[in-house]
Amino acid sequence: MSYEEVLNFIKKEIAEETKFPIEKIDGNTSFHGLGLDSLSAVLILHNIEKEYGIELNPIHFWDYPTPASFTSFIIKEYSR
Amino acid sequence: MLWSPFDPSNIVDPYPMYERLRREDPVHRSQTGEFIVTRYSDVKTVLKSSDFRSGNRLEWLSRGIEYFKNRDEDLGNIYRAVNSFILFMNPPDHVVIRNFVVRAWDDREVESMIATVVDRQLKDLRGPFDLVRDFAQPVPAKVICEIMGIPIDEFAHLRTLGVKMVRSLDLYHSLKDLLELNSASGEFVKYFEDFIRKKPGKGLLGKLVAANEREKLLREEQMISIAIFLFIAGEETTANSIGTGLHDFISAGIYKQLRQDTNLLNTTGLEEFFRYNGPVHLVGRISKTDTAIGNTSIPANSPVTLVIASANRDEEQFSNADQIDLYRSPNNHLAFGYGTHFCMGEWLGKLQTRIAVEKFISKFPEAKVETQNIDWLKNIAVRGMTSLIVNTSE
Repeated sequence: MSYEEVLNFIKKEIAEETKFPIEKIDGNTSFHGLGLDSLSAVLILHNIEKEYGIELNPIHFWDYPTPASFTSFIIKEYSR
Repeated sequence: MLWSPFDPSNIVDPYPMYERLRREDPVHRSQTGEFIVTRYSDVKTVLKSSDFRSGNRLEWLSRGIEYFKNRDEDLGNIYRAVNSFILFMNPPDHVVIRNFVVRAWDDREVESMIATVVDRQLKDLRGPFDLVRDFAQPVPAKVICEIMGIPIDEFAHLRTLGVKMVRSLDLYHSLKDLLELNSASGEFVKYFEDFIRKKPGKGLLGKLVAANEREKLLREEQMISIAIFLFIAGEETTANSIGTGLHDFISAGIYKQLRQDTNLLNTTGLEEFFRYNGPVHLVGRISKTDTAIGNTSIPANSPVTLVIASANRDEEQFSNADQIDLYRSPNNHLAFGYGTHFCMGEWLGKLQTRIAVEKFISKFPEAKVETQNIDWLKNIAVRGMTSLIVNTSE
């Protein structure tokens, strides 16, 4: 998986949840700021896990609270 | 990151993280948006304050069920199981239902029954054995079966469900967690539905069913949820307190002190068991109005996590808080909560822990911990070990 690929996947998921057009989603805006809450987080996390066959802890979503930082975290953890 | 409960080092030992929070940011706004409260005085203040209500997890789970229903995922069993968990309730229902259970639960003559369960469990144990799986877990599960009037040989099946059910009290869930919780909930609900419909004659459940026929207070679904609550509250916490407690006391080398003066378990020593490492680490509240904790403003409807286990290690309240002191007095720990939600089964938890530990020590005066790296349950709200191998020289 590449950084761009994961970031785009996360943005696509956020777009689906929030009904914002994907091109308006800034990778450096916080998940809270993008309108996600703890429930949409559960769903998005689940979809990321499914897509990449990885396991993520729910709290990590908020430890790395922007699409860009969360993507970096996933790449660091799982691209070895 | 001040609040990182799932870091492997904090799973093994969360106390250094708690200590840093108390020192650096005692009312900490966590990355998930909730407030984490770690000092004794603040935790106690919130527990008795009418500015906060219970039911944090129930509200979240209810929203979650609704949210996933719209996405074709049915998690409705979770609500069926937890809707009347007494610790999630608020006035006026809380008082009414709590009193209803307390009135039915008039039988406190359980000491000899507990002693029998413990003796039987110890009888065939020879070292090395698993203190958690062969002793700390089965004892409270069998005891709560006896108390509730459930056939004792059902304990293993119900305990397996109970372990999964305790996840409902945890702070963060993945969808996988919720699906597992939903399936355990479904089995639990079915079990108690069948059980209650058969009109049990004996035990606490029998009494509750009979009382409810007279008073018509609870709907069947509430009765089922209360039964599940009493079961898991009665066994998960006590299993963890016996397991973790014995582990701490054996490892800290004060096992000998307990052995020489078992009367300590009737007095200050027992309280220290619960203060030092009680199983309930986190409880939740929600602010009802704009309010404050210490100097920190808390807006209305904010989730608040009270770190009971941190409060119990607060040096401002307990000198040498990280040391086990079997003679500590006073010892006003918060392991069983405080105020209106003070644990209903406190007497039972203490009685069982005392009898189990007393008998364990007298049978295995030289027990030694063999397990090097303890595997902890994934739960951060109610903590416990999955296994602990001990050896004995008897």
